Amino acid sequence: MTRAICFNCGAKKFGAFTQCAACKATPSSQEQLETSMALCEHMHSSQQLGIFAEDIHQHRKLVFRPGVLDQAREALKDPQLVAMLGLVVKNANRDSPRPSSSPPRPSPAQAASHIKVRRDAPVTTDLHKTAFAILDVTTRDNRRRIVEQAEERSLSVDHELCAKARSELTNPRNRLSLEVTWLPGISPKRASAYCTLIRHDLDKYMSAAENEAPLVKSNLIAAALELFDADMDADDWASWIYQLASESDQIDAEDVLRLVNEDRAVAGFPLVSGPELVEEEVSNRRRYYKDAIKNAIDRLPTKRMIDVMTDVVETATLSGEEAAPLLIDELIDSYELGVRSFLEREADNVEKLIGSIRSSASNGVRAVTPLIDKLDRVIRNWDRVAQPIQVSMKSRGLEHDQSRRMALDVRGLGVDLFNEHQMLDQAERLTNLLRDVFAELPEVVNRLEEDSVAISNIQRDREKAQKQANDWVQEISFEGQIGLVFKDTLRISPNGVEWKGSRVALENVTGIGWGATRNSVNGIPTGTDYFIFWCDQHNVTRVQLNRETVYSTFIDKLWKAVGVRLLTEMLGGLREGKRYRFGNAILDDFGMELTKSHLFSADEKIKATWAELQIWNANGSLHVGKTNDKKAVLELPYQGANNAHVLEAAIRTKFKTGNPRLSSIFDD
Amino acid sequence: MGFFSKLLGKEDEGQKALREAMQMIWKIVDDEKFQNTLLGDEMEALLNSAPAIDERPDGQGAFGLDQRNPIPVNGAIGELAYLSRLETNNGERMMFHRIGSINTIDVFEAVTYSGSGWFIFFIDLYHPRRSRKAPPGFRLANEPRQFSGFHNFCRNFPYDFADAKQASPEMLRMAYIPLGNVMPQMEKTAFTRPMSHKAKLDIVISNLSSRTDT
Repeated sequence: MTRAICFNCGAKKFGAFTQCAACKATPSSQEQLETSMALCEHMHSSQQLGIFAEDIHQHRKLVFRPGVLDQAREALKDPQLVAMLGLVVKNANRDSPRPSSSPPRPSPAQAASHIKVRRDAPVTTDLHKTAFAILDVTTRDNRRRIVEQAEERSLSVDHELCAKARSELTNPRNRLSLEVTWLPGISPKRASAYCTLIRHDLDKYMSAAENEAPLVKSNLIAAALELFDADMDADDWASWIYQLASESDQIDAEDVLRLVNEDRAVAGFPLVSGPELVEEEVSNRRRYYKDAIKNAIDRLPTKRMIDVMTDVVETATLSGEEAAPLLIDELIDSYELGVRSFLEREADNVEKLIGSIRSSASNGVRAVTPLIDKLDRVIRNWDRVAQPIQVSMKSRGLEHDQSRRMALDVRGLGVDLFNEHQMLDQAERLTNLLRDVFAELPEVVNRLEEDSVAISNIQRDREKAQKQANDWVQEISFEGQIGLVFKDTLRISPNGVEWKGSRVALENVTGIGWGATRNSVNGIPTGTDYFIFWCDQHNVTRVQLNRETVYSTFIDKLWKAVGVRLLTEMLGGLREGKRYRFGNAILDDFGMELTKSHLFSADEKIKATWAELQIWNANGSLHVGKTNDKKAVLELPYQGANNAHVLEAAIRTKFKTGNPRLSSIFDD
Repeated sequence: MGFFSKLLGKEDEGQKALREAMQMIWKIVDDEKFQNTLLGDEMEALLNSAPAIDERPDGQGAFGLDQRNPIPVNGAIGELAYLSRLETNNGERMMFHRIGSINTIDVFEAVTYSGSGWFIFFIDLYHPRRSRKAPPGFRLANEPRQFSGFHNFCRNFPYDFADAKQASPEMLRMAYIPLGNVMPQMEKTAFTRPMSHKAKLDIVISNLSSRTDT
C-alpha cells in the first residue's frame, strides 16, 4: 500500500487520504486533500517525504515543485474519487475524535461539538421568522392549506403577522423571496425538525446541516449564528463563518430554480420562468448572510472580533495565497470601514513618533531607543487590527495602501538612522519589525529583503574591518627590554614607535633603517651589534642592541607598521612623477640618475633606466650601479641611510616583474 | 474440421462436438441458471433466496461505482459474465481482476483494452441473476461476451493476463477470450494507472476486509 505522511502532523501512514493514527486527522477540505495527495509516494520519493515530514514538524510552509499541486488538483476532479473521499471523511468523523491540532479548514462536523449557545439567546431565530415557519406550512402546501393555516395560527400568533405571511406566500411573485429564505428541496418533516433542533440541540442541528445543499446549509448556518456565544473559541467562530461564506459561493441559481419549481408543481403555484429572478433573490440572500455575520461578530469583544476576522481571512485565503469566497471579501471591506478611524489615528501616532525619533537621533542611541520601543508597540498594535485587511488585500493581488505607506515611512526612518547617524542596530531592528508586521505587502517585503541584505553586508564588512584592525594591531605590537642593568623599553604599537620614553607616531615616521655589525678581535668573533633607527621631520632616534631576537622581531614589526606605508607612498609619488633623493642619486619611476665621480674633473650625472641598472649588497650597504659603468654607483649604508630597505624592496620586486616602471610593481 | 474426418465420415461427430463445446461456452458466459449450478447446492440455494434485481432499492451513490450501491450479480461467474459484457459508452471493452472485498461486496479493477480508462467497480454477488443495468458512463453489450477478466487478484494486472488465464479452472478457461485477441494489445499499450485511480485504489485497499494478494 502507498506510503504517505500526514498533512497535519507529518507522521507516517499508509494511503494518502486515510486517517492518521498519530493525530487522528483525516484530510477533508480541498486544500488538505490536495496536500495529502502530494504527500504520498505516488508523487514524491520516500526521501522527499521525509523532508516534508520534517517541514511539518518544524511548522514550515510546504513548498512543492511546480505542477505537483496542479496534478493533485486534477486527480481530485475524478467523480468516483470525490465520492470515495466523501465516504472516507464521513467514516473518519464518525469513528474518531477531533484531531489533536486543528487542520486549517476544519469541517463543520468537527467544529460542531464546540458550539456554545449564548445565555441570552433569542427564543426565535430568523428561521422561525420566515412565513413558512410562522404559518407552519411547507413549500408543497397549496393555497387553500396556507389560508386555513393562517386562520388557525391567527388564534395563537399575531394576526397581522399571519395575514402578511399568507399574503406573501400566496402571491407567486413575492413567494419566491420567501422560498429562497426558507429550506427549498428538503422534506416538510425535515424542515420542521430543523426548527425544533435549533432551539434544543444546536450541535445536532449543525451536524445535520452538513449534508444539505448549499442554499439550505447557508440558511441554516446563518440562522444559527445569532445563537453563538461570544465566549466560543475564535477558531470555531472562524470555522463556521468560513463555512457559510464557502457554501454561499456555491449556491447555483439553476439548482435552486429546479427545487423551487418542483415544490411549486406539487403546491399548485405557477412555476418560476427562469433563473434570473432566482439569481436576484440569491444576491439578496448573500447580503443577508453578510449582515448576519456582522451582527454576530458585533457582539464579540474587540480583541476576539479581531482574532475571528483574522482567522476567517487566513483560513479562507490560505494566508493570502488564494482568493477568498466573495462573502469574506465583502466582510473584510465592511470591517475596514469599521476600523478606519482607529487605523488613521494610530497612523498619525506612528508619524509623530517617527518625527520624534528623527529629531532625537542626533542625541545618540540612548535618546532614540525608548522612542523606538514605543514605535514598536504602536505598530504591532496597529498591525493586529489591520492584519485581516492586509491578508485579504494580498489574496486579491492588492496592497493595503495605509500599511504600505506606514511601512515605507518606517523604512525611511531606518535608512536615515543608518546613513546619517550610523545606528546600524536600530536600523536593523526597524527592518526586522517591518518584516514581522508587514509580511503581506510584497513590495515592502522585497525592499526589506534588499535592506536586510545591505545591512548584513555592512555588518559583515564592519566585522571584517574590525578583525583586520585587531589582527594588524597584534601584528605590529611588540615590546622589548634592552640593557643589562638599567633596562630601557623599545616598543612599537598603533600609538607609535617608542624608545626611552620618547614616542613618534607611526604616521609621522618619514624614514627607517636597520643593520648589524659583526665584531671580532684577531679574527675571533666577539658578538654582533644591531642598529635600528627611525626619524620624523625633526629628529632621528637610534637604538643599539645585541639581542638578535628583539632586533629581528622589532624590524619585522617596524616594516609592517611603517615600511609598507613608506613604500606605498613612494611608489604613489613616483607614479605621479615625483623624484626622490637617495644619497647622491635621484630616483624616478623609470630609473635613477647616478653620480659618477672623477678625480680631476667635476662629477658627472649619468641617467640609467631600470634595464641598465643592477643592485647588490656589500659592506653593510645597498649598492645600485649602472651595468656597464663601474664608477656610476650609488652606495647607501643600511645603518645610516634613510629608507635603504624600502628602496631595495622596491627595486628587487621590480626586477622580478620586469615592468619598465618602478611604480607598476603592485599592478599585478 | 480435418480432411481425414471428412473421408472417414466423422464430419457430423466433429460438428456435434464443436456445437456442444460452443453451447457449453455460451452457457458458461450467459446462462445464469447454469452458472449458478456450477457454484454448488448451498451457494445456489443462497443466491436463489435473494431478490432478482437490477439495482438495490437502498443503494446510495453512483450505481456500481459506489460501494453503497453495488451491482447485483449471480455469484463469481456472474461477476465475470457481467464485467465481460460491460463496455464504455464509446464501445471499449475491458480487462478486469478482483482486488478483494469489503465485507460482502467484491471490488474489481478494470482497464480498457486501449489503456485509456481505469475503473473500480463494486459488485454484490449474492443474487440469483446479474443486473441488466450498467453503471453511469457504461453500457452492456447485447450479445454475450467471452470472459476478459478474473475473479482473482492479478499482481501485474493486466500484463499477467495469460498467466491468470492459465491458472483458471479448466472449464472456465474455454470461456475466455483467445489470447491472440489480447496479447497484441499488451504488446503495443503501456498500461499506466493515472494518479486519480491510484488514489482510489489506496482508499479501496484501506477499506478491504479481505484481499487475495497477501
